Amino acid sequence: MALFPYTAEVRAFVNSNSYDIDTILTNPLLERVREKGKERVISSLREMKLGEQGLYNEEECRVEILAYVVSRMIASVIGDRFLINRLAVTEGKIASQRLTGDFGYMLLPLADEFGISPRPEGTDYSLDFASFLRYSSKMRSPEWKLLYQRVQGGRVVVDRHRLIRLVEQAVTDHLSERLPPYTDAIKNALEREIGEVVRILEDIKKEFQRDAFGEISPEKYPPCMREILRQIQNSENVPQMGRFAIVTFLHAIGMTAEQIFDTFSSVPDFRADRTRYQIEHITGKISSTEYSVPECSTMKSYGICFKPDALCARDWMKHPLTYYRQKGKKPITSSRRQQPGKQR
Amino acid sequence: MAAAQQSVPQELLFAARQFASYYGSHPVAEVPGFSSREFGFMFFDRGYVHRHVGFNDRADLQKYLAGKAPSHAYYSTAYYEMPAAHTMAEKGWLGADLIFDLDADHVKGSEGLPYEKMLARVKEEMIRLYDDFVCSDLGFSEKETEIVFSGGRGYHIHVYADSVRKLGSHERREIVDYITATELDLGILFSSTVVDEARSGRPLKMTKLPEISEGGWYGRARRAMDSLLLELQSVPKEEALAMLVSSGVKKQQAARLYSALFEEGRKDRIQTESVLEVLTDREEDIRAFTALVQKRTVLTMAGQTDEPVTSDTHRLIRLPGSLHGKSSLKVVTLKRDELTDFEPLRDAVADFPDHPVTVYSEKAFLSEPVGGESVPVKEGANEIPLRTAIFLILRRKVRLQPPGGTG
Ligand code: SF4
Repeated sequence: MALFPYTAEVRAFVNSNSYDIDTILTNPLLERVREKGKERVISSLREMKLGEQGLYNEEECRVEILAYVVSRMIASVIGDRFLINRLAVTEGKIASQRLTGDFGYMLLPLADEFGISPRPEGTDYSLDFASFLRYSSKMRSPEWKLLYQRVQGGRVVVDRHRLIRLVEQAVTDHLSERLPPYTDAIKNALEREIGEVVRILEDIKKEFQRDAFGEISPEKYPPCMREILRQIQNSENVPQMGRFAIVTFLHAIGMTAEQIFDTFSSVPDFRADRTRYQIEHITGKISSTEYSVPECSTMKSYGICFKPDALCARDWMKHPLTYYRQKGKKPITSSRRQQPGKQR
Repeated sequence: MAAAQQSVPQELLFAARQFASYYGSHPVAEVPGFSSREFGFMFFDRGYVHRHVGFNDRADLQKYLAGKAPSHAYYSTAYYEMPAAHTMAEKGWLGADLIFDLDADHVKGSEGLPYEKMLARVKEEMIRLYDDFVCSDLGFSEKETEIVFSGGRGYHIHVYADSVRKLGSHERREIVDYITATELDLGILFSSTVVDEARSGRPLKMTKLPEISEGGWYGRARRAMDSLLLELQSVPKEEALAMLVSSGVKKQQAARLYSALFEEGRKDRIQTESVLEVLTDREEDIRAFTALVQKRTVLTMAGQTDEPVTSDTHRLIRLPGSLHGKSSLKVVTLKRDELTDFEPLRDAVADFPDHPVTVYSEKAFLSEPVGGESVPVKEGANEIPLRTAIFLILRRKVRLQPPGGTG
């Protein structure tokens, strides 16, 4: 229960144990809860993790659940979109890790909680197409389009991996849309914690700006992206996944939707309305989530890893953005090559 | 368009009187969630939609219709907390039915046809949309849906299921893309695995073809491929080659594909093994073949539906049971089995009183078969049944005054 603290069961638990807001906020015995709540926010912000969690006994679980409640209060009072989203995304990611790992048995109950109600079909699952759409529409990659689902009798069939991804999205959506109400009582009681979080939040936002890729340098584009661009500019028929990849890529290296649009608009049979919609959608201008550039392995399986070069052949080359970052730098030294992941 | 101040033509006053008396004795259809709907109207003497009207009950609506005789009556596909409020924020959107719209303006192959043929063409597409997509794929039952003849040039499907009410515009657009196979890319449907990532940098691909029984566009693409192969096989070689070339395959490629498929027996192997690469190891040929199947899939199986109508969650749509101000036909609700034999000019003709009217025409013609029979109209004065007269007046084919008379 403490592992997935946003369920109805948890809400019932918090209410039944007469942890009214006041107690949580002021009871000296719950100092540890407030501290943990703050930590939860901070480590979500910093590294999209939740920090140490014991959860070996009932007491620890109770602390964890209440800490979760506190973390939501802090987010609500600060009311910053970046913070709220980051917390929500973290909870979603953690849920996904747990469901993929030891807590797989929670998948169906959790899905039910968010109104997905999947039905096992062999090793796959089927779900109502409307619930599928509700969460899949946040995922911009073409493979999530309804067009590419096995739709029959109103149901969509997905494998376990995808079902987990949908539940992750459900957790994220749920948490970023619903926050506990802001009250002055919370604001005053948690003043110290809130102050600390705000300071860290400011720092992280600054860091983000510094970390951006800087000037856009086309000479560093990986071969796949160059090829896709060339095809688009020659009005060749670019597969949908290719268009998706190039838009995500250009967006990730810092182009605005407008700039990307301009890159495409020189094409003769360019369809302004549709392209604009796609770009705005992919870059998160229309809906709230942004999504990422496909990895090299995905690019390969869609046949759009065009003309890989020597840099691509390196063991650690797993992502077109890594290519962009590394291109033109000194070769990576062997010590830095020890990245988590594949070892040869 | 007449300027606003100009006097209203007699013909329109006449139509308004007929509509008013019709509404006096013919109740419009029931609308689920009646009091949460916004209503909107157009009038014979005004050029805009009068929106943001709400009614407490059907009797109020009926009184309004009989009293004001609107030329067109609409209601919102959305449900609102306060349907009569003037801004969306105040209205408070609660959800919306899922709507599909097919209109002659958008249905391929209906351009330039006479009214009846055009409607028959639209009906054909409508049946496919309803059977293949709304019922079979999306799984809605007859109880949750309504088919509506618009009174003009098309049909709508209303889906009242709770499950779709809250879907936003983007989700609804996804449904449209699904039905119309917009930007279908077989590269995504046919999943490839890279069998052996050869050091040479040229990975070996293996592309698994979907089976016929698979859901959605998977099964469809496979059926399209099978039917294409069958068709190519059943005609003489030259014809098959010509077919390939006319669908965009290069001449040499067409020859290679043909011999691989039908002379080396790879057609059967593709079909039994369901692996695309069985065809050839020339990547360009595989690509050409895939493109061919893709075209075929879209051409023979894509549904049609008007995108903006479905994705707009605040749309006004024609009120079933009301009259269409440009045809006088009734907006009719249909069951699926009624749709098959539905003839608008026979089955959607409103029940106007049965007396003749004198109308004037500038030239002789044979009228559309309103109510089942065509009426020959000659130049000058004619005495014709009221229902035909209103139809022709609203379609601006006849007038109530001799030509040159003032309106
Ligand atoms: S290896 Fe990665 S970066 Fe290089 S071309 Fe392929 S997809 Fe692009």
